[in-house]
Amino acid sequence: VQTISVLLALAEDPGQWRHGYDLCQETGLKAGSMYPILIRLADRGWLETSWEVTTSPGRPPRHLYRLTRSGLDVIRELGASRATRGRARRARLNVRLQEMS
Amino acid sequence: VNRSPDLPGSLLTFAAQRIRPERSEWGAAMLAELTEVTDPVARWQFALGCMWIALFAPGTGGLLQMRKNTIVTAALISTLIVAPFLYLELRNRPLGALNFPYPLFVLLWVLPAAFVFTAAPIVRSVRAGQNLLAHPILFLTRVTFLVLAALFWSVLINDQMPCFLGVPNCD
Repeated sequence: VQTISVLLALAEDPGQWRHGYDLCQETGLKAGSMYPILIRLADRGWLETSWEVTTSPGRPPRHLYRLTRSGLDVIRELGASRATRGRARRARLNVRLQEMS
Repeated sequence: VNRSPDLPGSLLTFAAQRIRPERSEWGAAMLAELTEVTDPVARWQFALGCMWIALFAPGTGGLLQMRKNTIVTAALISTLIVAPFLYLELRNRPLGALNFPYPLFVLLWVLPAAFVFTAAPIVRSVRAGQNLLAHPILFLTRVTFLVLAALFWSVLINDQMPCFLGVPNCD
């Protein structure tokens, strides 16, 4: 669930580079949960990483993240399978309601 | 200018330096991100979370992974050292006996394990031909602990030897 929430946060604007702390704030995940997820996503090739080119004086460049094409494919597949499961659940519920009525 | 010591930053720097070289990018990433966290509580939370990953999280090249072999070695050596004394004790008192000295055997096991774990970095440095006095305070602390642990363990064994040998009323 945590990985999905990170993927969804990244998928909101796929072209946009995101910071780790911003993702923590958006998803409500602690750094101890967020970074292992980011590391795993990057290892699987679903996450592209980069470093900030322009930084404020006295501050180190921040690490940036965005989904790769395969990461976006995963999100699409995830969305499709969730929609299928949702439709199946609704169909089962309708059948049960009809039986009850 | 704020000159108060940045403890979360220092701790995270310490942890990040121990990440494997191939994962060092992530240590630098977490350190850079910490500079953006200004709220003191959030800063501590963020630093502790990142430290946890840097030191222990599997799959991220943490410190514990690097020392897994040392831990296993320490546990094995310790078990081998304590086994004869446990055998002697079991001849006199069964394992479930009310007066079985469990705390003593835990201590007898932990001390050699801690000894091996503490001595391992020194042995590694010697093998690698590094200067042991490159970090003199750390080296002296380790040596002091090793001497004290060895002394304490010897005293315990010496004190308990009559009981191991089955001398009546040895306690």
